[in-house]
Amino acid sequence: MIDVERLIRTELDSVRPLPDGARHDWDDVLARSGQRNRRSRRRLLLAVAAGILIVAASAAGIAAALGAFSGGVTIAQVRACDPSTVALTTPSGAEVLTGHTEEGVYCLAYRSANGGGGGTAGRLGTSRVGDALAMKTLDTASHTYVIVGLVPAGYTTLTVGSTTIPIENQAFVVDSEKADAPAAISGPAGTIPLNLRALAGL
Amino acid sequence: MGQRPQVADLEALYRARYRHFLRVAILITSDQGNAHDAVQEGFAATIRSFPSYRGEGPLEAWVWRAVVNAAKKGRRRPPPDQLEGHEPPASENGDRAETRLVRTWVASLPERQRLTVYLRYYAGLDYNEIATVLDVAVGTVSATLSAAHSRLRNTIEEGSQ
Repeated sequence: MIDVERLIRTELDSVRPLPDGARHDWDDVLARSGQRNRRSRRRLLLAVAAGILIVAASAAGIAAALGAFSGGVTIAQVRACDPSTVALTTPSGAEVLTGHTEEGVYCLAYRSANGGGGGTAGRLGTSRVGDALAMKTLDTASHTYVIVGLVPAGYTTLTVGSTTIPIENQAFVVDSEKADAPAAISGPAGTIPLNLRALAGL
Repeated sequence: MGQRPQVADLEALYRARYRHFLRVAILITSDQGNAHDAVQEGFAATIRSFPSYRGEGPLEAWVWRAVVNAAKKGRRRPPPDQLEGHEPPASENGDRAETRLVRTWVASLPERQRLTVYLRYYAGLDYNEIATVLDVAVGTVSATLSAAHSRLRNTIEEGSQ
């Protein structure tokens, strides 16, 4: 019996040797994929966002001083809330951190495996959808957007479409692409439908 | 939430395996410039499709699929005398008899068998990965390679008669 496999393995490289690889240029691949443009756009957006934040922070500072947030959360209350408890760790190594103050302000932070992330704060039960606090943020390690949420105690699972996601220590993380799917949280406290898109302010 | 590949993973693969991707792309396109474009476009397409990746198959097989598809699109129109066969051999001068035999065999293979052989022996992919690249069942890969091997045995036997 002829061992054709061995013959192929020994001779095929002679038929077509590995070509010269001098032209490989990763930057060209990024340019083709649009990553480079996206990076430029992202830098521009970050600069614009930073400008808006500065203006908003100044306005919020003035408003807080005037008591304009008496029905919501003041800057001082947000600052007092420290998201220092790791509520859950995702398979990719990202962490969701939560915290709350005695005044009932809850805060939520997302830390990607490489350290990047974002945060938000508010009162559970006074958000637009009434029962959770959430935000959309970029996982800077995987370059994907996620919706990170904090729900009241007594809920153990988040159902998004046909996917069931565990809620750990009142926190959850879900792919932002699922924002439009019908969602609900459920557990001993009951079942409540969620509009992830509205919840994350999308 | 599924683990998604990162651009850095893809860059590492590109740097480590560029020449292997290029070799197969050259064999498909019959043109080194088009092959280089196909490899770059395949990787770029993979980056663009990250949001839809659901962890189906290994990353390298996913990239091979994109590169092979890009190479097929960038294929140079073959001259009439090569419509039924493979591109001209790179060099036959000084070839050993075994090398000539394998060269003849590769040139004689139908396109699907030839591509499967490239992915198996030049790309070093296993049957599952090849099935992912070609979007066929693993059994089809096995049958295709088996047919290609039989053809080589026949080629050898004909040469020895």
